[in-house]
Amino acid sequence: MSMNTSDSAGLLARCQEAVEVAQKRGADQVEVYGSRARETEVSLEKNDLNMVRVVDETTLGLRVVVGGRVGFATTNRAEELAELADEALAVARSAQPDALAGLPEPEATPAVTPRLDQGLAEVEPEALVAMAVELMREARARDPRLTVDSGGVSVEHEARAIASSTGIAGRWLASGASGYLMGMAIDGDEVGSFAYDGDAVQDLASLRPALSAAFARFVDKAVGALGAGRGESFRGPVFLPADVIGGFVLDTLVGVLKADGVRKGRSPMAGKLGTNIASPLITLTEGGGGLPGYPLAPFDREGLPRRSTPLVERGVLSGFLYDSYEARAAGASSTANALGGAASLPTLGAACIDVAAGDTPASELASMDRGVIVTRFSGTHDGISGDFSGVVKGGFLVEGGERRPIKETTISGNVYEALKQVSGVSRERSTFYGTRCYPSVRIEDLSITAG
Amino acid sequence: MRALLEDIAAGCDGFVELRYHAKTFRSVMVEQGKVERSQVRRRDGVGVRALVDGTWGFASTGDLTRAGVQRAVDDARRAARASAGQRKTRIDALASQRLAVGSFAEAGVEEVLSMPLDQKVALAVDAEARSRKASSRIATAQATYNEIFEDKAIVTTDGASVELKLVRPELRIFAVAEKDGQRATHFEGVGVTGGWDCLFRTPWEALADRAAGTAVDLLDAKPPEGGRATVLLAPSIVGLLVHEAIGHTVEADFVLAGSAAAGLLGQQVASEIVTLCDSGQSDHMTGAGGCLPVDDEGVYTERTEVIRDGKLVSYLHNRESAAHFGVAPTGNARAWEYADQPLIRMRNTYIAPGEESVEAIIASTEDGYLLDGPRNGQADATAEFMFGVSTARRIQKGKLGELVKGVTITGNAFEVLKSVDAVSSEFVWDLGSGHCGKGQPAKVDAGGPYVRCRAVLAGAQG
Repeated sequence: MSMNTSDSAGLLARCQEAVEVAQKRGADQVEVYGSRARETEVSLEKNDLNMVRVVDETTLGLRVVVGGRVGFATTNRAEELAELADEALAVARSAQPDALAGLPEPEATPAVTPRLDQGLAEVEPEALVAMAVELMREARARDPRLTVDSGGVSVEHEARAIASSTGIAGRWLASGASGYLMGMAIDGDEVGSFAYDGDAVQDLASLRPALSAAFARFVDKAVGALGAGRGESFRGPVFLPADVIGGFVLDTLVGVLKADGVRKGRSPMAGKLGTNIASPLITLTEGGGGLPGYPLAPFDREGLPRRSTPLVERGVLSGFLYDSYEARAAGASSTANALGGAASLPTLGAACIDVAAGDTPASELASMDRGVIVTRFSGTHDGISGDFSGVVKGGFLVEGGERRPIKETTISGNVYEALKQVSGVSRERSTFYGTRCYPSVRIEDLSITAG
Repeated sequence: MRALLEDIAAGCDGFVELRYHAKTFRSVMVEQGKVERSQVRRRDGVGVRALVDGTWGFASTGDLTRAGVQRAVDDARRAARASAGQRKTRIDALASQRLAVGSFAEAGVEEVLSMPLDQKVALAVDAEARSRKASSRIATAQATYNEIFEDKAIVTTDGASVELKLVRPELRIFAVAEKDGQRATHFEGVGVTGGWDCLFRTPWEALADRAAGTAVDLLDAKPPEGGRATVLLAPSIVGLLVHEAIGHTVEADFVLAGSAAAGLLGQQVASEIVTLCDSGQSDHMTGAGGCLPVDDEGVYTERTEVIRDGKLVSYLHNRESAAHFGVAPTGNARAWEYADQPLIRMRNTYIAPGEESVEAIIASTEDGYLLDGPRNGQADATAEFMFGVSTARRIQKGKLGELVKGVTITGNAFEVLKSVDAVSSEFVWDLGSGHCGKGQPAKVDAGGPYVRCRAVLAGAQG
């Protein structure tokens, strides 16, 4: 079940062989990214065990540059290197030449030894099944009104490797485990809103406690949505817990800090470097090699060494995210933010985000004279205009110190205005899936509409 | 491949389902006159589902030799045995009606596959250029041509044995307009099961013009007032409503978990003028994006009436849920790729057309909004839904008025369907580009006529 260094070494050798094949078939430059993943997944459905699924797959993704034209092809047939190269070359020849096209030169990458957990390496499907079922039963025992629609617990081992004709060569091994539950509470004829929670860890010892905590949150959300009544219409403050703030406010902001959007005129952050774009309470950093306790591969999808990049410091825009292409286009250095796996071209984005804690307890932020607590937001958010609107799910109206669940209540506004209206950031933070660390926040003066 | 799978199935004990599934995904994305991304992805292998001691096990392999597939069979059976002791409800039997045998091919496969790549790239280049140049207010435009080709063989130990080929091309155009630092966006897309002519039943030039024109118009649009309102849903929004808010609640796996549709069979859940179907074919208009003749359990697909004259008459089933409910499977088991197990998914979901023209419906609307252009949509266990809508046009005293900014609408789907008081005769499939997500993606389509009803709009407060 587990993987070892010979798996990643073998994969790197295969990538290097593919580089040579593509060069011989006419490519000026070649990059091959490989992954081999083995996953055991226990799925839950309808309050019961559903099935065990095992997957073992190797994927190669080959990017070529020929005459300034870029092509990409990917396959799960790692033995068909010539066919893969020909396909990528055909794609490239149908594209237009681009003076900026090219692969990055290698940079010194810090030697990081993958931390592979022996527990995850040795866990058998039977033990994973038992854990998943026990955790689901434990969650359901917390409240008899809870019903699980779907869920799962999985363990994955992955080897990654990258080789290029410019001399990049890197490999990495990773193990991880994750789980989630989705469902609702049913009380007589009343069906509550969907709730969802989950977590990811990198060692077996942490798996059960992390999922137990996540599933307890799931139960609280599901049961808390019962008994919802009509809300009220007004402009006022909204409290967004750590697991909600990322979903539309922070992710929307990070989405427009990518240099490609700036270059193409799509990002409203173009030209705003060094200016105030958010409340001084907001400091946001791309976490480079990973959040504490959750190391990422030391290189990005192009093989460049990952590094930390400050994006917003006390409300001031301080940086953008670059891959090698955008760095060439802007005359900047890559921030090593090429993401993705072997199955597609690299994309630009944040591998992990760290938002600094504030100094106010979350409970104090949630105490409002009259406001709304959002436990889930189901809506639309447009990064280009910043407009958002959507339904508050499992939310609460707070009035005079009392809170009551509400339904069919919507909030709307503009993300970029809302970022300036942040009036409080919690001292507590939560880490989600090992790649996002967020506090809770309160935002003033949003439009709240009762249905 | 089918012969090999038949051979292996013949040597299996108990129920085993073998599915060879090859998928080729090609994508060309153009932005600001430049081919930003052009790629092709090929993935094929065999997914095996085994039923042992009333429990499922699933394994997959990219090794297409007899030994490789046999190993996957053994792995799937071992996976099932690993969970047999923990499953509370054993699967006693699978419904065995409508199992398919034969070779099937949807229209357009040869035409699209044999078309030179240059022609597909040129389409994306031309569509982006047309949209970008449509107005000086357009800051940037993007056009993406995607194409999925699928080649499958499905064999079960109880008699299904099919080969199947289909192709699904799509074109997506996105425009960003800008004025005085304010931005507005609009997206237009079309996706079909079929060939090039089918894809361009709406000319690509019209899509490009509409993407740009609407984005420009939205620059000056004001937000609507929030609250409950009369809304005339265009076919695209009807598609969102029937897919997200009704369709998911009638998927039998979800029904068994306690969805809002549980226990409602035979009950009036919608206005009497509402008949809602989910079909493996392209009813009423060609080229629906979710067509398939046979599902991934080897069951013939059908036109399933879910709501007939306002009454809930059927759920959507796979073989397991059909056996549980004592009905025939409806052909709704679908897997995204070979390494995915089949789940209950929709195909082409719609409200059947009525007899009134959309013009007559507008003329009889005193005060409301015409909603068009889906941005996104989600629905809840409660059938409460949220849809992002790109454009809303005011209707006052029977006439179309000003354009207001895109909105989010929400409501309870069954309550909204009960409030339907007009259904037009025009019919359009309008949700064929993009994917439905339920753990795995799926290509689906949805649409229908124009439908007038009541819903809640998220708007601005004071």
